[in-house]
Amino acid sequence: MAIKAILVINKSGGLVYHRNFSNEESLSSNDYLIIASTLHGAFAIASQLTPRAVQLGEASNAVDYTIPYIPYVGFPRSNANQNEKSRFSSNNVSITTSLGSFKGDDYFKEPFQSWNKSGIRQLCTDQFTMFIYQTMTGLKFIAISTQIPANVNNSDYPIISIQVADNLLRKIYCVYSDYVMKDPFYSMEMPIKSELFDQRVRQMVSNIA
Amino acid sequence: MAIYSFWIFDKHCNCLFNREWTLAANSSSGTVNSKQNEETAKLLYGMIFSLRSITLKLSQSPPANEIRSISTGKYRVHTHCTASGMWFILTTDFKQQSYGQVLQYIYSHIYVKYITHNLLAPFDLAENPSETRGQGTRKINNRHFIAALESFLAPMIMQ
Amino acid sequence: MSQRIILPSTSDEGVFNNSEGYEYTIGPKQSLPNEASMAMIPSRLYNESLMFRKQEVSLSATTFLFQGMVSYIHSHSKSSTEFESTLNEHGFSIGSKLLELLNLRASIPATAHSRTSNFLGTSASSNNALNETAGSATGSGANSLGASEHIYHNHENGSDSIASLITNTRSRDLKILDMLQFVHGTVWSYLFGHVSDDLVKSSERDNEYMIVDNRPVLTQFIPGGVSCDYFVCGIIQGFLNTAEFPCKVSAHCMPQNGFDRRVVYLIQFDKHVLEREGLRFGQ
Repeated sequence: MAIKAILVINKSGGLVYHRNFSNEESLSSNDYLIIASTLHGAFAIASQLTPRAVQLGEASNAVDYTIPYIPYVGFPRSNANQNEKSRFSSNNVSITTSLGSFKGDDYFKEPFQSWNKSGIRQLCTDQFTMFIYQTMTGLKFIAISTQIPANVNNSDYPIISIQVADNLLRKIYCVYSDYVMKDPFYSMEMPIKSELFDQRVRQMVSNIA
Repeated sequence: MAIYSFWIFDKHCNCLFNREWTLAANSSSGTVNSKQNEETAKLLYGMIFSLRSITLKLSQSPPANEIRSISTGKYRVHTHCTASGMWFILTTDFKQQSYGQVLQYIYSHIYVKYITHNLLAPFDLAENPSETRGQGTRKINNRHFIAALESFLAPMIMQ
Repeated sequence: MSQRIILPSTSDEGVFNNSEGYEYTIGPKQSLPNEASMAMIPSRLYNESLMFRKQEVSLSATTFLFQGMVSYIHSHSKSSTEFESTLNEHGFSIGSKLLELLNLRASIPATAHSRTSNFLGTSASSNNALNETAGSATGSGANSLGASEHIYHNHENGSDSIASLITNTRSRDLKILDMLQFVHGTVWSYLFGHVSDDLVKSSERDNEYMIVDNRPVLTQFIPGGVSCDYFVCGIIQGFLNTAEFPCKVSAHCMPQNGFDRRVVYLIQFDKHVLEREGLRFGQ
């Protein structure tokens, strides 16, 4: 699952950030704006379409919105081993794994509740899969990844991929809270120009195999 | 309860058929071609239509990039698009990965058999231009089609 | 419900339950019968804040507050020079107060409380005074630990002040280098939790010194130039100017060895500081 693009959509449906990681020819920025607002609209419609059986509580297994914590998503592979060492010595590790205002070696370590309860979370197509993480304030973080291989036998695979994506996007949200919200020259709801945010997102995405 | 509803749309954005199940215990519960579902049908069509425009934009040119499924926290929508522009749509619980083959089967073994091969069924349910832009209200009411569909999907409701 | 949207304008249950003062959503409340006769508990705040203790402030909150201040100043300044000088002024007042506070704290003997290692990790010259006082305290008896606990206990009750802990005030720094090392060590670890990464004397000019910070804490989330670092410049300048080392401080961005946010604070002392130094300590 390689990430092809990351988008951030503000609460009124405007595109505030997009970064394409593949070398394919990218669309014009106007196209991306259209995509963002269309997604925003479709997202809202999806919550209106909840089947009657679900509304009546007929669903056999109650829906659980807890997303388990998946360790070190978006960190270098070797990181899990390095952490043992870095606790005791070497301050050069702290350069690479400095997490801004977040303490410890990962942004969060506990399972979390998904705020995206009735909106679109995953969109599977022939060529790619799109994951949407929504925050409580209505901000949306979107990852477009390569298509989930169809031949995976594990029936839990789509669920796991959603969980991995939610973990990754939540970390990007953490980065956003540092490098965008604490940037005095950023005006709310406007496009994100901070190169520090960009740099962090790139770093995190490049660590996802 | 694994599947919640089934829909057919034609190329004129009309909902030709809808079937919604409401009780897990009773596979004959729910509604067939209900008037109440008109609004829902329009929303569902609209959502898939707009998402489809995104996926077509984001895809690399020649092989058309069709939506396979759309998932929310509560349910999942599976779509199957035919060459004639018909959409077969199934809403299920959010865990099921792929209903592509189920939809494929419904199209090739039930729809084609009872509707397309039926000489008395109209080629296009929209008979005049006023019914082409989502305004059509005609539905598929073929008894054999509905019976075959029911018997095919009934086992999945209890899953 | 752990995750609910907090609406600032509506009354939240948490507000009702934890309310102690006037609650605008409820209005005036009846006073309890024995409320007026209850004894006032003296606040320990005044003593506490002067005690040196390992206190951690949320970095997130600090930087958020800082960004609020910067954006306010930014929207009220007409030019970038005005912006930088206003930030500088804000830092200046902090720096001049820090001079008093940190010198006082550095006078408290080490045994009176536990110190963090980086507080002691300063240069030898600025530690001389500390070690002397610490030595006298520990040398006074084997039960120094118990004594210090006793002192601490009194302090907790608010009956004793910080002044009673100080037996020997730290002597004032007179040399430029001593002063700068105090800034480099004590001031930096008080402000940012670590000693600054380097203290360099300019090879070209006599009156120029540089303090290097590889990863500036306050401005780490702010992209672009070093304008916001003028706040820290202000702190240094305020500190040195109040200590009668008049100087000008400017910030420069010099990425090196993977530290792409590395900031160098250039301190330019006034001429007479050097002349004074020459007269006092010259050969």
